[in-house]
Amino acid sequence: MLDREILIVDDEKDLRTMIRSIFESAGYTQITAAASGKEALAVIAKKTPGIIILDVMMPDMDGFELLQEIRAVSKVPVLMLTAKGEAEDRFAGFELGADDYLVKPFLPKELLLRVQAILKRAYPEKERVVTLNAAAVDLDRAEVIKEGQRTPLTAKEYSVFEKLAENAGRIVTVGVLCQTLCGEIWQGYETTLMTHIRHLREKIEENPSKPVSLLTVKGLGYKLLVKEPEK
Amino acid sequence: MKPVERFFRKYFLSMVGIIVLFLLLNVVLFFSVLIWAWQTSETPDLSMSEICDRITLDGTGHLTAAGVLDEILEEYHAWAMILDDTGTVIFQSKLPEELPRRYTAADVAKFSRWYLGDYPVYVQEHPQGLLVVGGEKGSQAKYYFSVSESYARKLLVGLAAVFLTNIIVVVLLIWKNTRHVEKSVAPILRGIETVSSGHPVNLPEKGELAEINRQLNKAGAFIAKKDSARADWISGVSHDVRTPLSVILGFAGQLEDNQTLPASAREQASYIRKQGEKLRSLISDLNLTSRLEYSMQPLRMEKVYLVELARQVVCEFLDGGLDARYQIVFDSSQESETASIMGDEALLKRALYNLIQNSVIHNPKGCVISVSVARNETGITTTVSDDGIGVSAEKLEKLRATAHHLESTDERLTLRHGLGVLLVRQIVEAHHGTMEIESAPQNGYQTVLVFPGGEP
Repeated sequence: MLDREILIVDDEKDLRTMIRSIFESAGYTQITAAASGKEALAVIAKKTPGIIILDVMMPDMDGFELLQEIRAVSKVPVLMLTAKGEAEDRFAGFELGADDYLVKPFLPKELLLRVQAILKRAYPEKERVVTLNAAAVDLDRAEVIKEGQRTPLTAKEYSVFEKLAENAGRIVTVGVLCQTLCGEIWQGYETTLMTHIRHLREKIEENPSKPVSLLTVKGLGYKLLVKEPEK
Repeated sequence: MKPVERFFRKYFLSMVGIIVLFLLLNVVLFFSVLIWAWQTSETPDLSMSEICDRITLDGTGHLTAAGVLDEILEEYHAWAMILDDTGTVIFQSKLPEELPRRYTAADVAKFSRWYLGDYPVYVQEHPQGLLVVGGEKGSQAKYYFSVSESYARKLLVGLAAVFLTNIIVVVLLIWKNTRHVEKSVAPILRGIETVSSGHPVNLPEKGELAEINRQLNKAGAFIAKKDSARADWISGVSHDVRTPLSVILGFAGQLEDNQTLPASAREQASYIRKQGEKLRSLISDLNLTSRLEYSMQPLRMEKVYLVELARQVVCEFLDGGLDARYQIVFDSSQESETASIMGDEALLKRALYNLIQNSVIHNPKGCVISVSVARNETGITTTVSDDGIGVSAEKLEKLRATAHHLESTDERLTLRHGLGVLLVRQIVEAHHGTMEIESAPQNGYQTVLVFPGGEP
């Protein structure tokens, strides 16, 4: 993932330098910067980057226009940066096909996390295996590997687990999980959700009554603790 | 619109009062005229009984007038006679020559009602017959009416009815007139109220008062323009600050994480980052609060489950590396679980975020923050409280009273605290909810937000 090319488009030199340094210190090696829309289009014409970090307010061509031009030729993931906090801007960005949106001033960590999340989604690794404390889950085959045994996950268990794994290390609220399970109307599905969680624990935990990977956060939701894959 | 209604009610009552006063005045004037006429007119003060008493039988069986009868009659240019039962004059004093000395019953009946040869006459019974006293020609007006009982009654009732009808018609006309004036003036008064509260007005520019309406619309538009210019200015300034602040936050964060730097330098970088983050939330609060103040922030209303929303905000804090000094406890009642309101999700999240953030900022030594959502008859109650240092009574008073972000800057020192709270209040009010703050020094701080409705 660290070798994905990142294109930073911003007319502000200091900001470009700052963003570049965030990604450099995170270990990314392919970082290109463009000071204007035209410059950015020239870079893209030569080689499509892995992700574009795009400022909305630029003198020659604003970010929305540039995004439209990019979308006409490519599906490359785009994260918009804006100095405007207004909701209309955010919606305009999403309507034009932005993948995410960050309001200035942002925290460096937030930018990094969001870019990583977009890259993960856009370029899924060939083997999507989530390593847990007592087991591993093969997302492509929807199977749990525990003590050499492969146990299949049901469709519902899979969708719950996938949501938790996407947000590994963070709390996923009951509401969000229910929404994943049942679509728009998620109210009243807590008991169903608890059943799925129990079944998941039976499959992935060493001791399902004392979970260490799939944790309950009282009153709020659930959290999945994932082991970083060793490289 | 209470004051306007009160004004017109007063106006109407005063008009009715004027009518009543007018009637009273007329009654007084009428009687004054009566008294004046009576006092200033030459009214013969002839006393019939006095004359009657002065005419007595003498020893010979003749009637004589005692003393000054002649003088009295002279004074009033009057005369007197007494008729016996046959109609013959048996006594007279100054009786004009042209009048007869004998009268038939028909004559008596006639003159007792009308005149006797143009002389106004009065009659009274005398022991010897009938006393007739005549006044000077033309000195008295004498009328005689005779009407049927029922006619008189009807006439009286009719007169009263006419009087009442007049009163009612006048009062109705006044009322109608007042309504008319009210109809054309009330919108203007309401318009002035609206303009004075800083909102734009749009009054129809027609009718007799079109010019006033036009001027009011202009005033409203002018204020709105100034307001939007101010909000735009704040938005512009905050926009210009955002990029430099991003650079500051970005580099400070990297310096803080740079393991090759000495610990003291990293600590200094951490101060820069923390202060930068405060500046960041201040700027976005300022921008949003001015946009809400001048109604420039459109609300994106959708179905919002407050429990879920509160959960997500709490999770944001827990996931965002909240210091171990702080603990957040979340609690929700079973009924609140399925309760929703129509609201702007982003704004409501912001309100809750600000409340929790306030507890964190004001309790640097750490605290337990409780967030709870409950539902009852009045609506959905969201409570954010902490067991921290609280605020003084005066400060609490200020927090409760702060109504405008421009006012909150008057005190300068409280801007930092006031703005976040003000923004929460604005957001809650935009959702027709209420906000209550409770706090005591060293005894925690609690904010209760109540949103009406709460569809299950």
